[in-house]
Amino acid sequence: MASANESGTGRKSASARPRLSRRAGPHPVLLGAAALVAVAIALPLVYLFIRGVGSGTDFWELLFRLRTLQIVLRSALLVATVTAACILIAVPLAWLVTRTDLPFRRAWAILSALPLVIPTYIGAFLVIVALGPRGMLQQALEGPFGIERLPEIYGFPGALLTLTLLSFPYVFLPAQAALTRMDPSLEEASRSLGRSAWSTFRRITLPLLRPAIASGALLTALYTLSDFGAVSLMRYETFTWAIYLQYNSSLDRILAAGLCLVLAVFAAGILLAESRTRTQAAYHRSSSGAARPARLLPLGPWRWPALAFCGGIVLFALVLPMSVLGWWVARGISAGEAVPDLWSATANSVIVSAVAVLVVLAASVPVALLSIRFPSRASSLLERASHVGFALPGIAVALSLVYFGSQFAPALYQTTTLLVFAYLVLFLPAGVGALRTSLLQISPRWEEAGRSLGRGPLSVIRTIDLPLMRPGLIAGGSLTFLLIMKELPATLILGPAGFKTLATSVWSASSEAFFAEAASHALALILVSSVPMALIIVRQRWQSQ
Amino acid sequence: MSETVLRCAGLSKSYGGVSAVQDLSLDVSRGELVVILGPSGCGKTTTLRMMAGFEWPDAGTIELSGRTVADPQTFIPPEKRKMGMVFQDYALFPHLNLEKNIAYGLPTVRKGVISKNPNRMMEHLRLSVRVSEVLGLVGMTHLLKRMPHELSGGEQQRAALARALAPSPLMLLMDEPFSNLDAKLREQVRDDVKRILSLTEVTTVLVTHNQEEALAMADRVAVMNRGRLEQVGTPQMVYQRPATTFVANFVGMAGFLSATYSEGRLHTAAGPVKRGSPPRYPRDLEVMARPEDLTFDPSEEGEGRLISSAYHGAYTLYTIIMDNGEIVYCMKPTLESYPEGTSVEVRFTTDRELPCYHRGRLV
Repeated sequence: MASANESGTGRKSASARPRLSRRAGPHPVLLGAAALVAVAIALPLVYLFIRGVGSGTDFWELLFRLRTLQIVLRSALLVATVTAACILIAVPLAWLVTRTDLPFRRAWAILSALPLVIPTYIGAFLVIVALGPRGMLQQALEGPFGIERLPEIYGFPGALLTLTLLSFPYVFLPAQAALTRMDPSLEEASRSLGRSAWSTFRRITLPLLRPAIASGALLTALYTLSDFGAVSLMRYETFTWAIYLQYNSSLDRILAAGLCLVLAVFAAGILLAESRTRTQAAYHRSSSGAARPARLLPLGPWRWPALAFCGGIVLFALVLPMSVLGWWVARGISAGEAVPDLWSATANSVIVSAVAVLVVLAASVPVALLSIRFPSRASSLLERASHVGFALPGIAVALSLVYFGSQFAPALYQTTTLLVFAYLVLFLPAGVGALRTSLLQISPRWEEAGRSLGRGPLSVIRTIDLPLMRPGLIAGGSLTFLLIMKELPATLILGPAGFKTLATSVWSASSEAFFAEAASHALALILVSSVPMALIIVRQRWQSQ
Repeated sequence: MSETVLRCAGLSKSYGGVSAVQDLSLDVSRGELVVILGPSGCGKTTTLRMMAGFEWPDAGTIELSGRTVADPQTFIPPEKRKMGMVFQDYALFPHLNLEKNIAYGLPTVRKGVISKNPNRMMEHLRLSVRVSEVLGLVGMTHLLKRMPHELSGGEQQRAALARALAPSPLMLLMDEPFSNLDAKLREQVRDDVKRILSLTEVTTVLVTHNQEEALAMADRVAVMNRGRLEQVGTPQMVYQRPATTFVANFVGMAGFLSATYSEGRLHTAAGPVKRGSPPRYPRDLEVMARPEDLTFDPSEEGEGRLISSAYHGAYTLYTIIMDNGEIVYCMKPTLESYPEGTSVEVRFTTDRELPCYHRGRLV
């Protein structure tokens, strides 16, 4: 029969054809947009690497200098201690608010997540105001006790204290979520096999929590490594502060670029270490969707120390900072101090952040669609490329854009366009993450139904995917807004001359000890950047009722 | 039934070296309802998705109303094929109400300034007439403004059908359309759907793993196994003369008795069966017997023994093991019951020819 022959040749030509399939393949517009995003993000960083490595002997000499080693050790010490301290605070806290009858545990859970909205440079500024030389504590103690000197707060102790108090929620939130999801029957099985509560926690709960703790620890470690605000105000010379000093003080920018490269390698090392533990972690993953909540452990008399623990953390991480801020603002107002330029800095911050959020979301849509709907080697590479900003500290991204911009796009250099582009590189992972989550909940059957009803791929994205992704777009947009409002190093380095945002105003005012001015900007920053997040939380609560 | 609407020839598809569909050929005539039946993982959904245009066959051609929509060189995307599709989970758009779901596949009318432009007003009128037409067809006109999650399972099913029918597709594809309904509802929705399909005379390919559904609905049944079509035929043919032992076992219950041929008869442990022409192969023959083809009487000398019984109300289904280890099934009216272990004499109730197999194939 002819058909056998035909199918034979058909098979042959099918295997000979390169599988750039027109079939269920992505629409060229989608593909083009995503590729543009990937190239745009990768270019400056690739350039930084080429420039740094290719710059000759200077670069290698720099790497093996004693000072570089000191910077590496200081950074490593800070990352390790902050991460460890965050785990020590966050895990017991998460366990207390999910598994015990701690009074007001829901309130503690919400309050424990809030320090995230306080940027580290504000936290550091407040620590200095409160505990620094001639700070509030010292002044309070001077009168009655005659104490004239407190232990030095600048340097390592101040940085450790600030970063720990402000970044423990990165561990707390995933740990709390994992504890809520965990199947309580596993712990009950352990108890029924004769293990005590403590032994059960150590042998069952903690191992099951490991993936969540690891992912939180990764965030904390990267956050600490990339932090600029706290270490610069505390004058603790880690990578970011050293890079900034080098960049500002010397015309030879190769050295700063070299330090950026080392920093990037450091960050990549942390990511790599985490992905190693993650392959094991998949084995430990807790079963999802527990049918019933776990029985709460009665604390008995232990509830008092537990309450003191929670209260202490919330006091130091949230209540004290906010009250100190409020006190300085009130003092400034009552002293009749003019509040200069608060409006223009606020407007700058809000406008540039809002524009950047729109850019980030627009770039996230093709990347998220492609990585979820058309899984292939190329699309997963693209998705990983979009995570560059996650691994790279803001200062490294900023400097790479300085070099790239001054070399290839002088028209853009020192404009807000380049600043928005830096935000895109830095916060694309946040946007892509949020959109991927909401896209995963959209069944591909809906898209197929749209296609079979006569709509082309772009029309389906417009009429089905985008409307269904709206909650994800709003949530991702609000989170990105918060992050961009807080961002400091890229804004400092890339902002046009004279361009002041709330973040840069706080930093410059507090590094010059204009405390009242810094406080009013800081308060405005925290309030404005939290508004969208607060709206989302309120809306969710309202909808769930 | 003459004109061929859908012609599939030599379709093959594999995923990463694993073959899902192999050399599948199937023609569907105008107005016909063809049910593709097979166990899960047999490739039936892949076949349907190739027809719809969600998968590109590695080899073979698909023609729709004489136009090639897929072959190794050609690929017409789903939106240009004019095929309606009803998905297993219905895939009603959750952000659109019933009316907008139905209207999604119809030509869009721009909003606003309708009253000023008589042409646009006519278009708009035509759209809403069509929407209420198909909603009337499935009896859901009163639910126009409901959101999908406010509809019951059966209503969602019918809404998905109405949405697929609204653009008057060349043909309709249905993927396991009844599997998400509970047993009682399923039968009723099945009847509704069959009525609507015959009313609209739409050519349909339906995929299911439920043999009862296939027999009850199909004009023709196409039985698939491991990526290949085992048999295409009317429900009667598929049930009474299965082409392979796989089809015999998958469609209804079947017992097999080894047989030898002599003088116009096949001789089995349950006695002789009529056989017109001598089979092509003299050895390795098996006669298939449906439960209703056999009966038994208790007998001490019988070569069968009851090993289990399942009470179905009006009748009871017995499983019998023969002395040579063969298992057969036998359906008897529940007039008296027989305990397990009873020795029985099994015989045929019919003097029809019964299908006979050699190494799994009908001979």
